[in-house]
Amino acid sequence: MKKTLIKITLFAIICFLIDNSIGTFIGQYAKEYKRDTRINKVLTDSIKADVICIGSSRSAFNLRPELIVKDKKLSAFNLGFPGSNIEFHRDILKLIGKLSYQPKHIILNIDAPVYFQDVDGYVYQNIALEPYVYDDEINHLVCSHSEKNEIASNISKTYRQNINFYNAVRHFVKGKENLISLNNFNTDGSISFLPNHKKNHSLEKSQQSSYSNTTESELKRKYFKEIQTLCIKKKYKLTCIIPPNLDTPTNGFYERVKSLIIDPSIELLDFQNDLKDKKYFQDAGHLSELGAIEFSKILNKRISFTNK
Amino acid sequence: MSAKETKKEKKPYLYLSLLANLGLLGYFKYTNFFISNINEIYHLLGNTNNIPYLEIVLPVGISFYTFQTLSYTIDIYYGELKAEKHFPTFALYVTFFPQLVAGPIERASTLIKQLNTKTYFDQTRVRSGLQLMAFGLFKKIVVADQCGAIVDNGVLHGNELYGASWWIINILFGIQIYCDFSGYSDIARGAAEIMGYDLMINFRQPFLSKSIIELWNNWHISLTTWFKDYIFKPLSKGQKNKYILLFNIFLIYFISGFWHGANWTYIIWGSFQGIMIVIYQLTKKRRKKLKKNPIHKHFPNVTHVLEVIATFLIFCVTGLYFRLSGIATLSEIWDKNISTYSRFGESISDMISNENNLRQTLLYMGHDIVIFGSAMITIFIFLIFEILQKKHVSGRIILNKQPIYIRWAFYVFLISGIIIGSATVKQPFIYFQF
Repeated sequence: MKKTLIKITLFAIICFLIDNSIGTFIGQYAKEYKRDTRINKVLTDSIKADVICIGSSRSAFNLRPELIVKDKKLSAFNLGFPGSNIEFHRDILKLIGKLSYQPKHIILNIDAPVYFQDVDGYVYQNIALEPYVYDDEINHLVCSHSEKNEIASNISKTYRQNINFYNAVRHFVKGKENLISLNNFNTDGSISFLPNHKKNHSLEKSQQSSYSNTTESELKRKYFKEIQTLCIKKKYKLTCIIPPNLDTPTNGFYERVKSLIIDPSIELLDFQNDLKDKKYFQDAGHLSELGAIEFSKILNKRISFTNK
Repeated sequence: MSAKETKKEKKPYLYLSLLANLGLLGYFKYTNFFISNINEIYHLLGNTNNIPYLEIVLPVGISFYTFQTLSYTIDIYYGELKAEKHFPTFALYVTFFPQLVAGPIERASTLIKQLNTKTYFDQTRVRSGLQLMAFGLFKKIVVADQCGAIVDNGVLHGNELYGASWWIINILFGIQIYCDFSGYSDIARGAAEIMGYDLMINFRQPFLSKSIIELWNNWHISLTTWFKDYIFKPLSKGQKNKYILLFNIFLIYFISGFWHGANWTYIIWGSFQGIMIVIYQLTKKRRKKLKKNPIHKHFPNVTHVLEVIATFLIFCVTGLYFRLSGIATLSEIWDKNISTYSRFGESISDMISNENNLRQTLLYMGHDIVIFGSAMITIFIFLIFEILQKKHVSGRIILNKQPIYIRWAFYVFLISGIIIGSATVKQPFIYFQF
């Protein structure tokens, strides 16, 4: 019996060592594979921005933080993630709250008319967090939004990192991921469409001409409230913007968002009727390079920045 | 029933048991299938009224434990088994958790006897059971689920595929279903072994079989032997007419298809297997003559390998009916089959030239070379295991003969593979649906 126990202990130690080595290897290579290092910047506390933009792809592509704060003696960074939903935005805001250099201003991009609805294309972007599961909080977020077992991921490093296995192999085999429009980052964290990215101006069939709150998700309204509460608690000035859209504006959406705002200090700006020319758009909902520059200039004038 | 002495006296009880068991199975599994077919006939006759479908939840593992209880009753009827008087033991036999949901379908004569025997902790047996469970998990999580991810993507984008792509899907699905099902059987057998019970071997390297009949003798053995013992043998008792015997063989596979699921695709799949086995039996003499061929005499290994490959491909090609069951109509599957054969050369040329990045669509099924390549490597490793097991009866025997550092290295390899493989989107065991 004693011999068996010694064998089991020895085997467990070997497993532990190998598990740690494999997990470290996967984590390291997978992290280096990704072009989007913005979450890593948050985790390593290397973002020192007075203004931070959050939102989905419309935030990532439409907002050029450096232009938004031009001549304002402020620094800015974009933490917009394509395809992300409001729950993800709330969690990004929570991560921002841990930065040692705290922002003064948060710009939240609100996609009309789907921001509070459960629709395809807006999901919790686990994929953006996965390379950083070495961090316990990120691991917790990934586990709570997938079938991954958090207890097991705290026991085994390989299990924690297994979601990154293929990316680690890809990096090992081919180096960094291919450059596409979704990972072509500017220094201020925004994303630019590559010059060869095809324009598509066909209007979205799902666009609603007048907004109905009956299709809203209770949870998403709750997340919006949490975002506002968090900003108030952290003393961030919150500006919510409804970005330009090539499509017809959704009647009543601005009023609906306004009704969901819990504090008069929170600013809400509607740009649905701005920049209606096709030259400013890459597709119905996303601005082109030219459009993003123009829109950022407009924001520079319209947003009342704070230096407090 | 066991208190009665003659078969005549036992018969009413047998019928009652058959009616109860098959009635429950029929109600839960086949009611809506029959309703849908009756509705189809109504439509053909111009009647627009539909019989409404029933909202029935299929009890987990019903196909498996129904066959266990049937075998129990039939064995008692034939006097091959004494009735179990202790109800908890009988209940444990029917609901024995390791094999409850997907077999192996155990015979009362072997399992009840074991359940009535006291078991004690045995370190060697526990180790052996754990080894078997680890093999099973590896097959399921590393091989089956990886193949499944590629197959699922292929089926999802099926309209873009043609020629060799469907061959790839068929082959990968064949490997997926085998590793999925035999993986479960290994886990079940391993779990039972840890507790001191031996469950029957359900698979014996079927993909290394030289003929379709050999393949079926090594595939889902507990079901094929069940059909043989409880349907084929009673039907063929004293029968000398070769064609009736062949029909009985066909009938078994037809029923087997129906057992798998209430869908015409399963019935067609089962019938295909039956037809191929009948053809195999009918061509026995010709094949014997072929074996006298000098090529066969001089290169027995080459012909052996060719036979194994041909058998495997025949099995896989018909598997399309199994995979697409419920998501495609018979004519759609037929179209895919036609596309498979007619555009084979075109697809190979497109994969090689990689024009418009077609290799990613046609070969990698929308994934990239890393995912596809990983699946190929795991299949290769699995194939080596299978060949070694075929030669040495059991992988565990080979493993236990190795020095400790090789055994431990192998365990670490298995565990790491399972941990890494578990990142793939979870795929439920395919046979849980039956």
